[in-house]
Amino acid sequence: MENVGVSKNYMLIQKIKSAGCFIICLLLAAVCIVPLWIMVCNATHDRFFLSTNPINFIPGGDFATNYYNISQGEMAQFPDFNVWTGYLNSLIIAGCSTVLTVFFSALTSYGLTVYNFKIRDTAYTIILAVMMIPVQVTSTGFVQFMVGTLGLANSYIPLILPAIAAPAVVFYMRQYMKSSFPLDIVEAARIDGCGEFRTFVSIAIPMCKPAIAVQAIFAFVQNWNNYYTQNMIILSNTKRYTMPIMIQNVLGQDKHPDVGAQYAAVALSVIPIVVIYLCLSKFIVGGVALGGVKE
Amino acid sequence: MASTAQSRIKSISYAKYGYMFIAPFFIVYLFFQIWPLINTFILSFKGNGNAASDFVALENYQTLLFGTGDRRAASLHNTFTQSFINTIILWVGNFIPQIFLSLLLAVWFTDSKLHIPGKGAFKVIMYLPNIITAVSVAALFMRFISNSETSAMNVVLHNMGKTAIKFENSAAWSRGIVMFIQTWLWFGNTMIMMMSGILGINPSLFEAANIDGASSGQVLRKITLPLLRPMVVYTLITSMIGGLQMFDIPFLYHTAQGDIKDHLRTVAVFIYEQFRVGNNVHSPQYGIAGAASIMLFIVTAILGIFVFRANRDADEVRKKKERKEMIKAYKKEQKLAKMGGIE
Amino acid sequence: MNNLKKTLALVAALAMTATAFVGCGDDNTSSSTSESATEAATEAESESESESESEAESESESESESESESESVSEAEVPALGAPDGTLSEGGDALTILCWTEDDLSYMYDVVAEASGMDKSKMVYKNVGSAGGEANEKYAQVFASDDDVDLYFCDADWNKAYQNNDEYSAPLSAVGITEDMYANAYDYTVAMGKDNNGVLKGATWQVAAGGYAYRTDLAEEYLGITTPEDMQAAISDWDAFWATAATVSEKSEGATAMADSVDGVWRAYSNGNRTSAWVQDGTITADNAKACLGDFISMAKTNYDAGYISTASQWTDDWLPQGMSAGTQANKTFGFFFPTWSLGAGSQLSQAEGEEGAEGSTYGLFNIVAGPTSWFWGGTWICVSPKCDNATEAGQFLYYMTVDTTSMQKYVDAKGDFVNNKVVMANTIAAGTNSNALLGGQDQLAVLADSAANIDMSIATQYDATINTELQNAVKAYCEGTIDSEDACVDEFLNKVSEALTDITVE
Repeated sequence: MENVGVSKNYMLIQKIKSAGCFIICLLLAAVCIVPLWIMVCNATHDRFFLSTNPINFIPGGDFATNYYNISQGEMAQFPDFNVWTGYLNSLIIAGCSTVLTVFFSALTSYGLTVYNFKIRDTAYTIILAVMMIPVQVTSTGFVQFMVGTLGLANSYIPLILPAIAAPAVVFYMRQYMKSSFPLDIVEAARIDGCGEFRTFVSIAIPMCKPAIAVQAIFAFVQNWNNYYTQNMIILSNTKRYTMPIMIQNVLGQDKHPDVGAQYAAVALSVIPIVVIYLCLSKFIVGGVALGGVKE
Repeated sequence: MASTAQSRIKSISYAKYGYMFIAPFFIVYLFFQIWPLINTFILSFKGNGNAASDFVALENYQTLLFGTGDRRAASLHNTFTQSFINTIILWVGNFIPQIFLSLLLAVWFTDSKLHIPGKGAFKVIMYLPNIITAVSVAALFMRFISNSETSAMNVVLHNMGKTAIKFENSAAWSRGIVMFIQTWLWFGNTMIMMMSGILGINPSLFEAANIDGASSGQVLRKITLPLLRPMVVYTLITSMIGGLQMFDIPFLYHTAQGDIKDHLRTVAVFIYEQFRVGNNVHSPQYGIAGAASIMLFIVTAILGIFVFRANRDADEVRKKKERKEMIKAYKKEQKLAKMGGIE
Repeated sequence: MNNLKKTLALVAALAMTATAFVGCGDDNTSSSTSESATEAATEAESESESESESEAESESESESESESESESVSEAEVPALGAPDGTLSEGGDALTILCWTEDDLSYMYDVVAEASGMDKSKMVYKNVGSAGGEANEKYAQVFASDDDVDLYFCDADWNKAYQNNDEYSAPLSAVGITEDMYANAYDYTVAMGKDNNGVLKGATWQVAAGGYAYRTDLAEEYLGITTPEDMQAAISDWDAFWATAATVSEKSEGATAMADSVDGVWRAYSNGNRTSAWVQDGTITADNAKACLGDFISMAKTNYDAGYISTASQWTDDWLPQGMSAGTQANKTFGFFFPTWSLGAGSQLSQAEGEEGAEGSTYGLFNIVAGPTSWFWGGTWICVSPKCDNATEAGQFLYYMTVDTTSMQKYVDAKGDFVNNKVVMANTIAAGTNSNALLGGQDQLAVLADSAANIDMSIATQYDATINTELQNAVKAYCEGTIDSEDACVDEFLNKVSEALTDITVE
């Protein structure tokens, strides 16, 4: 009898605790989602309405006006201003970078895990040390070298190729391979007469799929959102502008301020990636837990 | 004996693949990162603007560190020092709430005793801000709260009959807003990393603790946190590096053109401002930018080594202790055995 | 659980997309706006016709003025376009013009194509798409790359930086343009087009005289003033301007400021009252800085604190909506400091007024007067790139946009811009054909003609862009209270300038 009482009491405490946690989570989730919801609603109201009602929770019907203003109307700073070009450019850069990042990071970490060679540990230490170097540190030399010396202004090469060397991803992948990639498989493949590179492509990559998926998503998001480097390299060719630069352009537009159009521009930059994210959320949130940093 | 020989042969015959596999990484790294780094280093000893090709030795460093000389040197020194202070304030101000929130949530979400409905949805929503372009985020918050009298907050104040506030002008407001945005962006990401760390802990430890009747607090203090340390260290390092290069939000959070506020200018923003062309074709100051970059690098490296060392030392100290104890116990045994033998 | 999450996610995604495209069905928005625009134009025309009687008086006045002027401005003989001197190559694909805004360009192409017989498709422009202040940076990158550039536009604030650099600019003589062609031009535009060695390297089609555009309805309500002449009398110098500001502020109970922004007052003061160049012999001395600033800082601070200068900054979202009579920025300013290029259709003035018929629109309720000082703001010079590979066409473009009377007259008739040709302007003003609907039918060209004749840019330096930006930021910080004293404000300003400019010394 007494035992049941204790357990009932215990259950109640747990229930109250759970409810408390739930409420806090709900609040935090609201903090995350409400600014975006306001953005969506405001993007569908025109500037006159917004000038007196700056915060809206109900969508209006003026998205077409706002869209017209940023694409062809007065907010468009140049005639080929087209948000869809921005998407396409960002997609090209982020897509190529992602493929390069995950493939070469997997390759590098495979090399570091499977083979035993003289400079292996040194190489790994170098990669770890390299992780410490902020982009900003090298950017002075990077810009001077790429734009000044090599004349690669407005080129996508300086934005895509460096993706091959992603120390943080290598670090993560190596951790993953160490813990969940049995080296015996490599031995077995060798006995079966499988070439080294083929072993990597047809055995290692499929086995590391979860880690690769997670890192691919992270890499994609990171490259999609990279404003700093893009802003230094692509300055003068409006046809090459990426999404973030496009958005910055609409917002920096100083001749025809239009709040509604600004919200619409921001919303256009945010919504597609949010939609993609929500569709892939299973991989992202679930996948991160798969790898982790295990020591 | 045979097996060692075998493995030696193996390692010799396959080593070349190891080099081949890691070669692309290092070639690209050399070209796009190491050379720019060296280039930055070289530039830091050269002049600025029109005098970009002159060798000036340590003048740029001297200017930034001590600011002795003319008005320009003193002014650059002040701005640079302030930007370092800003960076630290902004980083600490977003890291503390971020790690606190994410640890708390990670513990809740992995606690099997708590029943929080919609855990999955919460995780998805909380991670959401992290995937949004910083430019869009800055733009969005600029429209909500900024110097502009047409920003949502000021319109609300206006509707309430109060005067507008220039939020960017106040150090407290603007730093607070930037910290909030940074936390908003990153706590979901850190939370998921923490969760993966907790899930990586051997579940039998938690089971054992449960059987022994440990409270949640005890489990947290005695098992979760100590075993989560590598994860926390990793987060600390990545966040620190991220924090030292904080650029987008502080750079974009200003209304009037080119009016980056002194209390928001981080080192990265400072560097960017120096090497951009700006209003004058002769004005890129690669020398100053290079020197500031190298100093940022040195600070990052020192902090990184410090954190790594601290972490490894603790491990090593513990292992050493264990080893010592084992040796002691072994010696004792031996002694006992010996004595026993004599007796 | 997993399914629930998925559904939730999908629903959220759908909801977001759906709401975003809710307004898409409204397809005729674009056509309806253009319709209303044409309607507005015709209305304005008919209005101006019907009002012609009432305007007769002022017109006759302006006529007599312009007559006297046109006497002094007898048309000088201008040589025909010469042949390129052969230093630049010929036969490139297309005449490429680098610019940061193409508002005016499409019509320029029409004018030039018609006058020269050039194929319009052979003229293209490369728009770097930015604010004028940032264009410079983007230009530098275009020049660093191998992109084709024949001509490029330069803002007055920084054109000297390009003209003084042979890497970026070729003399106009290389495309057959000589100084004697500018006999009918405003003198300062020629002076401004020369580099430090006196070589002509740039030419402009416009004259950027500045004025003060004010709200006629507020003038009547607060000051009882109904004509531009009375308004000009009330603000004929800075003292009178601020005295009137006090009345306006008092009558409006502090709601309406006289000046639109600190930046605007600085533009007028800097280009109207400053008599000393900022940088002399590569130095900004403390004394010279003081001389340049005059009493501006204390004037700005006093009047800002009194509420006579609005709290908005130029080129921000707060700035232009102050001209409307509804919204958060309603009636915040009595008027704007605007140059000629801010007065056309689609420009700053039309933004400040809002669309005709919209809530709070002040369409046609502005008038322009010369204001407290005779000043100017900016202007765009056309320079020739040393990499130009269409020398003949480049020469033709420059000739027909900046020299030729007939084609420039066409441009004025179409755009109402103040062009760099005294003969054209005198004729236009005398004919009285220019009527600006945004200004209630007023002819801004006649009002600003005197200011235009007085423009002196001899004190311009290539550092003015940086100096203006830093000064405006420092003074605004002082006005807004983040800097405590005037000395600290000057100090902050000089510090920032010294940081930004490497090749001059700041004491």
